[in-house]
Amino acid sequence: MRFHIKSSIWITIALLALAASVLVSAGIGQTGFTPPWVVAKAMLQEGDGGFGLSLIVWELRLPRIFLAIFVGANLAIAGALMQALFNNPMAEPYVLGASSGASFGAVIAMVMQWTGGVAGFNPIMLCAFSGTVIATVTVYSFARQDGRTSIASLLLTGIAVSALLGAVTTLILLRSDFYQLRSALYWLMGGVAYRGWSDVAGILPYTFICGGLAFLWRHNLNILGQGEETAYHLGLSPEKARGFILVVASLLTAASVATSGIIAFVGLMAPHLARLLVGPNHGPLIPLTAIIGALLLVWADVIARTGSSGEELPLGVITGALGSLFFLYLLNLQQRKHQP
Amino acid sequence: MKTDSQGRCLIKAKGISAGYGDKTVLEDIDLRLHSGELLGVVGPNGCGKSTLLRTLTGRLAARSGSIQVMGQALTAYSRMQFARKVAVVPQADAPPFDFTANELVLQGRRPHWGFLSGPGAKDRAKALQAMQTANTVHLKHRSIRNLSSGEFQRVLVARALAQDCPILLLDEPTAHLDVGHEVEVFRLLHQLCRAEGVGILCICHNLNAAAAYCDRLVLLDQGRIKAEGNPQSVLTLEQLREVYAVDLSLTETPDGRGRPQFLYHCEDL
Repeated sequence: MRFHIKSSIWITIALLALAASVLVSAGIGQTGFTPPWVVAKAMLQEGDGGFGLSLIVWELRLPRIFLAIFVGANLAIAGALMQALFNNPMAEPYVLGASSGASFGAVIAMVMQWTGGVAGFNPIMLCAFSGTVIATVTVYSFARQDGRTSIASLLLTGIAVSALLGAVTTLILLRSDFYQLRSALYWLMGGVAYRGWSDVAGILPYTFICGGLAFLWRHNLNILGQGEETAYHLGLSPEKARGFILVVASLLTAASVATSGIIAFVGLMAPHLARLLVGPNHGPLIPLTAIIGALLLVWADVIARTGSSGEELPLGVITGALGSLFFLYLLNLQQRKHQP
Repeated sequence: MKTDSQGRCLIKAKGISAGYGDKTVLEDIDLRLHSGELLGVVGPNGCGKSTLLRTLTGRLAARSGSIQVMGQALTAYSRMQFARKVAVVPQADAPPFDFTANELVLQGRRPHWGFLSGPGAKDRAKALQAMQTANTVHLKHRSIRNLSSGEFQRVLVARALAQDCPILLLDEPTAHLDVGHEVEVFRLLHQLCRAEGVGILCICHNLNAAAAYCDRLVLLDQGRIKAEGNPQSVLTLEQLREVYAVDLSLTETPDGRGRPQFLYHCEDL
């Protein structure tokens, strides 16, 4: 019981930190810093109070903050799921090439200018999902040996699949016309700028439905994380588990890539930080990792929009720089642990 | 439940062969495991011991022959049903995630809780009991990554005990243990057979330990059963010379049971 209380406390703290981050970051922009209480007051006022602050906050800053929250949560949960699937704490949508798969699919849908959609999914989302599944299945089948994945084979296969899909994506973009190229490239670099509430509404169901499914599966994820053989002997059918995780993690990845491009390493950092706080049990881990992923992306986006004067930095660049250092540190840690 | 070594037949394998790709690893294996029996499987490296375990648990489909587990064909079991009948202690591997020993043992209760529900009070009690039996209670709150390999091995045994199955299969459970802990594990297995009537199949490399503690032995060589029966009849010097290509000296346990024990002899050094 002691551990449940500890986990609840951390989740509460993280939620409060997220709420505070929304208020504080809504006050940060190109125009400088506005204190949270002023922001809160402006938000509650119907009119703009003469400064236009209410409008800026409601229509420009809050949508991107909430988009950052849901994209961060999606990527973090997808990372935790993939780590359980590969029994390897280095697995993550970007590292595995799943993000490249999603962007590959999304670019095809964009360039072909497909419209319509099936069962409420728009074509970009459908193609991004298919791309993610193809990339993940490819990495899984090549990197897996005797029911386990070594770090080396995971990373090498991930690199190869990423490189291939990235190259094809670039080729497709180069063959398309200039207007598409520019907007697609900007989207590809990853970011939550210039998005509206409709984008938030688009990604929100994925976070809650897929996150909820992951949470329902928490006990099975714990067991799967012990390795396929152990899971098998404890009565969990590996095929069923693989299929489930693949679909849920791919939906999460595809939804975030389709709305905000490739944002690297959030799925690596968030679960790792969450494990440091509450341990590897997926019960508390899934909600906490989602909140931490959200926090990371909210603040990375603050850096993105204020870091260099005049022009915005792509969000993917910030998490890429931060995450790659984290990645190297984790790799070092893992290798030391695996030495006999 | 007190049972003699000729208890109920729990596993009945007839004429099974198995392999990977175009390589045949096991050929024409007949094997029975009874309740209350400690059956040892010995044989040189690469003789198919682990493949036998994979085949008996259905991880590897047998190419021919039939396997019955508690009167029902292996293939007719769902994963969950099977995990309530057969517990497995796999070879110890470095654990990827940092659970506590208690959490790991509790996971052994998984076949007894529902598909999406988690452990309850009864499961916690069973896990604790299993840890007591396997002498690992003092490790309860330790992280499994910080355990010695011997401690980790015993925690894996505790997890299999928590699973509460009539059949227990172990793949070299004493590979990383010093002689003290090795004796402890074998005494525990022996006691589980006698007191609880569990049928245990244990893959083992240490011939002396296998001969001393197992009721019956199967000697595998190149995927076939070379000999089967009580330790005295299976572990003869002649068999060992043929299978392991080694000359040893034979003596016996000083307990009056006459179990064979082997000594190295090094006159030629």
